[in-house]
Parts: sequence; structure tokens; C-alpha cells
Amino acid sequence: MGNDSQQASSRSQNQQFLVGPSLYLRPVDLDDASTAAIWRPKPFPAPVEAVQDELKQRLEIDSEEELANQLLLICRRDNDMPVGSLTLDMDGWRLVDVDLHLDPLVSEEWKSSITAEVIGFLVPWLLEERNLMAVSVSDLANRPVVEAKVQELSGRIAAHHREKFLIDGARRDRYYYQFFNPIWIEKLGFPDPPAFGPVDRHVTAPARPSLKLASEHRPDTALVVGERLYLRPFEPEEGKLVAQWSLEDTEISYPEGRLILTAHTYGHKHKEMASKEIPSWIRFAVVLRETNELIGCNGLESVDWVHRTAETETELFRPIHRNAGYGTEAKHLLLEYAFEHLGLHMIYSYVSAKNPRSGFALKKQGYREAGRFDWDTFSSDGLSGFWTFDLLASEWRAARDAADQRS
Amino acid sequence: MTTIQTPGTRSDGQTFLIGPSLYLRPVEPDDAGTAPRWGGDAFPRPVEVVQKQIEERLEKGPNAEENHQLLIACRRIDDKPVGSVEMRMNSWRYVSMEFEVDSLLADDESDKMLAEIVEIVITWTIRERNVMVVEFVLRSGLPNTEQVIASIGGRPCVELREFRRYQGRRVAEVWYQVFNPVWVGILDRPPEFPGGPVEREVRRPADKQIVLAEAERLNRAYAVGDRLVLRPLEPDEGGLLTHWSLRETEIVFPEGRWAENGFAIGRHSVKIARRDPPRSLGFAIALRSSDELIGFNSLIHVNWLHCTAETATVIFRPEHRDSGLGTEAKHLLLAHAFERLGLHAVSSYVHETNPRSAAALRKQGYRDAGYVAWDSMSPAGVCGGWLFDLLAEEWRESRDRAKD
Repeated sequence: MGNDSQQASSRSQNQQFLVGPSLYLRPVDLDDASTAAIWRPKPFPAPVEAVQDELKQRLEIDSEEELANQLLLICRRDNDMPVGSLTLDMDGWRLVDVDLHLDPLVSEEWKSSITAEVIGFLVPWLLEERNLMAVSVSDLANRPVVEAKVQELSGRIAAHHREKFLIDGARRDRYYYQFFNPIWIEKLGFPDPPAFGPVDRHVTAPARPSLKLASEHRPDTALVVGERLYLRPFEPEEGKLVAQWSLEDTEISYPEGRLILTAHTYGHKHKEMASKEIPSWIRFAVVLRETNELIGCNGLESVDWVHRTAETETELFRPIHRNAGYGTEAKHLLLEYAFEHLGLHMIYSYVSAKNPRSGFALKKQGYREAGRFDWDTFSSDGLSGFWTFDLLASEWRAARDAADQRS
Repeated sequence: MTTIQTPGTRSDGQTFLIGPSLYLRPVEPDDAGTAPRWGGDAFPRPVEVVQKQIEERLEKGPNAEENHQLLIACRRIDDKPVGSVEMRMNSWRYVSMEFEVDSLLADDESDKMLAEIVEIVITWTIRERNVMVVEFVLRSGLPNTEQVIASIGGRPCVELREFRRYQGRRVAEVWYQVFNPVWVGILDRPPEFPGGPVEREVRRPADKQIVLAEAERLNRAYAVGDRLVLRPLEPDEGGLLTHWSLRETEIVFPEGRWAENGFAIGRHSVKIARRDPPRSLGFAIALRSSDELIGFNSLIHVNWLHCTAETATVIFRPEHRDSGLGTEAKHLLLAHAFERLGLHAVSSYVHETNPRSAAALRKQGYRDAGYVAWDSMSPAGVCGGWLFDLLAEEWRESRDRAKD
């Protein structure tokens, strides 16, 4: 068990798993509030009492629920001091996402070696003892020690989001590594390598210049206006329409099939999101300018106000409005809002591998193919994954301005 | 009984707050349906959510509402809202105003509308409500509005560079003041202080960031310097603040010394830490050698859209002042603001009764951004305060130059 030259501390002495040569993992407890500056993944100072309240909220739940999204501290064996934390976000006990956060005050070299050591004992435990099908671990890109460890464990880069983090005043890329369980590789075969699109790429449907209106042409509730569409808040009572349309849908775009939407829940969700002073999910109704008819919704999900990033999402409710360029027009209005009004730096998107139409649409709009996560969900032919895409604000503006100059 | 009004007739008979094409009226819950026209809110909110916000505002009672009133600017021709003004009365001595105009309109049209709203509201506030001074803040690049402000005797007093994001670019935030001529006759026109040069010497730039050896890490530190650390203020430390505030020997604020309620400050530090993202971040400044609490610094009014904030510092006891500790703590705070939170610029306000703090800011690299007159009561009657600004790129540049 580990390196004998290390003086083992009392706390990890008899620990049988999740122990490496110099580090070990353990569940967080309330007393850890006093070292939150080291392991809490938020750059905002919090007194011990506030962190303890946060921890109580996280820990005073059903134990199954706690295990499904567990927070573990990464500690040094020589003195038991935490050096960071990680969350294990379990997806149906089949897959897990590992999100690491390391002490921001320590050197880059040390952070790399901590990550490599943790991956070295955590991933084998997840695959060989917990018998998960696949493990995803995300980390900053360009850490050779970490990349070597990933290779050693037969993992690979599944996705690469450019400039996703702001670290010490500079933009850093994020890699997502995926590790597959050999037992399942034997049964299912190794998934094809993910594709990464070029940075220099042709944008076939770039944004149009921003539209300014005379007061009398302005739809009362619009926040962004395009030639055929505008974006406005979604009203909770419109949930009834969406629920009705969900049952009338004739197309299956997701591997899990069509969804049954509940009117009240759908409407209430929008009210809840909009009641936050600084929302983390900003959602619009997509509406035809000519008739004020609601045709879809799009939004910015998981908005990170520090790193200035978000995930974009779109749904057009009825087949008659699909394949008509509405999704692309609405998307560019959303991107104009994200980049020009909110000042986001980059956005990303996820698309089911069973929904190539949406993937093509994103590429047309200027998104870059940024990889693929495999074995994510069940589909008619076994297991299916999802693609991810990224887009920088600077790229979106350059494509818009180039198109404007050409016209 | 519902009264159906013919569009364009709502301002008939209105005797004030009315201009050639626009008029102003108090907000009402039904205005929730047109909030994107007048509200200036960057986020989409359903009518029900906005209506609740308006009702909460209006149900605080007539006095509270009058002291913090929201007026909707409408077109006379069709009663359609086009903007708003929010007025905060300060003891009926000065008023601060926030103007909004529909952001979807063409620049020239919105500028003309804003100019008309500004003229209507400010003329009424000065001439009829008899307040001493009106203050308000606008983005730069509004030629029609600037002309109107000058014509009613107003002047720009502060310019915070690159403080606002507007249509994908950075523009300045300009603060204006309009003085009541009656009080100008009594007190004389206050002095003007133009902003300092962009090219300036930074006598005390930030030090290189310290990367800690494994053994040196202090458990609660968010930033570590040569002599200091920044860490959260714990609620039970509030008692120390009360103790020290009552033993203060120096008077630097126009309102004099005050008795800090340590319990309230301690609870506040817990309350603000529960918000994500927070509107303010406060750090205890502690000596690295002993963890002794010596002061507090903070980022207040954090604006996550524009990526700006105001910095503030207090060093609790005289023995820790004038020894460079405030400056070291400030650079740790600025490193956190610019390098970890990604803020683009910060400002700072200093009462003119506190020249030591102003000198410290200049030494740290802040630029003089202007002067707000008649801001507080002072032994000489009234006094004002200086504003300063600092861009992230300037702070980094002076730090890197000093390293070289």
C-alpha cells in the first residue's frame, strides 16, 4: 500500500482503498469547513459557518442520494491536510463524472502531480471495484504528467473545450478524459476515436448584424430581435402549449425517445429560473415576429459568471418549424445576447449522437466539433454517446463581420 | 369597473413631467407586460415575476415608495413605454437617478428619447422639488443627452473608463451632477477636478504572485502576500471590530467616527457568503505571522455583467496604518479581482476629508477619475469625494514591469 518512505498519518493509516503514495481520499465532513479556502471550488470567501451550512445541505440527505453525488477531499498522507477535492457524479451506477478542484495557491507542477496521482488510484477503483462501464475525468489541458497517466490507464481525450477556464488571469483549455471498462470493451468493442474539428473552419450560416428598430416596430416583450424571430421571456402558462405539442411530436430526436412534458412543471421551471437575481440558466421563448406565435425555446444553461462560459440549448416544438432556418436565426440571436450583452467568452453545446441534424446545424452556425462522449445512453442499437461543440466569442464575431463585409 | 383608454390620451391634462413627445408616470403592476421596453433588466423574466417585483416595491408604503420612486417614460402619441427613471432621495437634499431607455432602439432614437427624459425629470427636480443637487450615471457616447445636460447647467464630474459593456464593446461610465442655482448662489459653484492622465507612474505596483511551498499554506487564506493573508471574516470576530471602533483616535470621514456593531457585521459576512455569485466579497486582512486580524477589504457592487466592482479598505488600528500593509492587502485583493474573478476594472471612492487614502490609491496605480461635490456634510459645510479607476490590464502591466 503506497510508498514506504512516506510517514503515514493516523487518519489514513488503515485505509484500504483510495490511497496513493502521498495522497488519499476521504468523504468531506462538517469540520472541513475550516479549510474551505483550499478545497471549496468557489473563489468567494466564506466564513466557517456558511460553509458548514452548505455542507449540511449536501450531507443531510438520503445516503443513496449522497453517494450518487459524493464530495471527497484529497488529503496528504504525511499531515492529513487537504489539497483539493473532487465530486463523483454517478449516472445510474453505470457511468461517473469526476470533477477535480485543487488548491489555487499551489504551484502548477504540484497540481499536475496531484491530479496524476489521484487519477492513478481513483480510476482503477471505479472500473475494477465499482464495475462502472466508463469514467470521465475533466482537467486543464496541457499537463504532460496527467496525459501520461491517462495513457498508462488506457484512457483517451474524449473532448476538448477551448479557453473554458480563467486561471491566474489567463485562458486555459479543458480536456475531458474517458476511461472504459475492459470487460465492456470485450463485449461492445472499443468506441471509434472522437473527431475534433479544425480551428480554421468555414461558417456557412454566420450571424447577421444586430437589428435596431423604430419604437413602433418593437414587440413589447422582446429582448433580442431578428428578421423573422424575436426572443422574449417564456410565460409559465405557455407550458400548456408545450405539453400539448410534446404529445403531438412525430419525430424522435433523442435516444431516450420523445418526452412527456407536464405543463405546470415546465412553466414553473421558467418562473423559478427567472426569479434568481443573477440566473444560472437564462431561457427565452422563440417567437415569430409576424404572428407573435411561440415556436420554441432556447437558452444559456450552466452560466459561469467567473469563467464567462455557458452551454447553449435549443428546442423547436413542432416539425413544421424545423429545417426552415428558424433554429439558426434563433441561435444567432441567443449568441448575440450571450457575447454582446452578457460578455461571455465562449460557449459549448452537447448533441446526442442520434441527432445528426442538430450537429450539422451547429457546425453551420460556426461551432467547432470538440469531441464525443461514448456509452452515455441506451439506444435502439445498444449504447449511444453525444457530441460536444465549442465556439469562442471572437470566432462568432469574426464570422459575422466577414459575412457583413462580403454582403 | 374597467376604463378602456384610447391610446395616446393617458397624459391628457397632466401638468408636469411632460415634454414635447414623452411624459412620465409612476410604475404600476400592469407595466410588467412591457418590462423589456423600459426596465433595463438584462435577463428574460416572465410577467408574473416582474409583476411581483413591482408589487413588492409599491407595497412598502407611500413614504418608502416616494423616497425610491420608479417612473415610466411613455410616448404621448400612443402611451407606449420607452424608458424609465429610478430616483433615490437622500434626505431630500440630493437625488441619485438611474435612467433606462429601450436597448432595442437605434442609437440616435434612444439618445434623443433619453435627452428628453433627462430634461423633463431634472428640471422638475431642481426647480420644483428644490433639492440641492441631482446625480446620475450614463454611458459615454450620447451626444444629444450630453447637450441637454449642459443646457440645464449640469456637468460631467467623473469618468470611469471601460466600466460598461455596450453592444459588444467597452465604453466609459460618466457621472453627472446638476446643482441647484439657489445653492450655487449660497455656497458658490463647487470646484471641478478633471480626471488624471492615463499614462501615470505607479510607485507601489503589485508584487509577483506568491506560489506557496507545501508547508506554508494557511488553511483559510484565499490570497497570500509577504506579510499578510486575506481570509474570510468569522462572525465571532465582530466583537473585536466594536472594541476597536470605540477606541479609534483618528477622524477621516466627514460623518466622523462611528460605533461598529460587531454582531451585525459578523452576521453580514455569513449572509453575503451564501449568495452565488455574490454582490460583494469581503476579506479579513490578517498578519501572516500571527493570523492577527488588522483590517478588512472588499469588492462591493460587483457587477457580473459589466465585470466591475468598487474596492474598499479599512485598517482597524492606527499602529497598522502608514506602514504599507493597506497597500499590500489591496494588491492581494486586486489579484483576486482581476486574476481569479476576471473583473475588467475597479473603482474606488474616497471622501475629500481622507487625503491619505487618496494618496495610497494613486501610489497603488489607481487613476483620478473625477470628483463628486456636495456629497456629505462636513465642518466646512459640505464636502465631496474623489473617484478613482483602475483597469485590470494596467494593474498587470505595472506588476510585470516592476518584476522585470
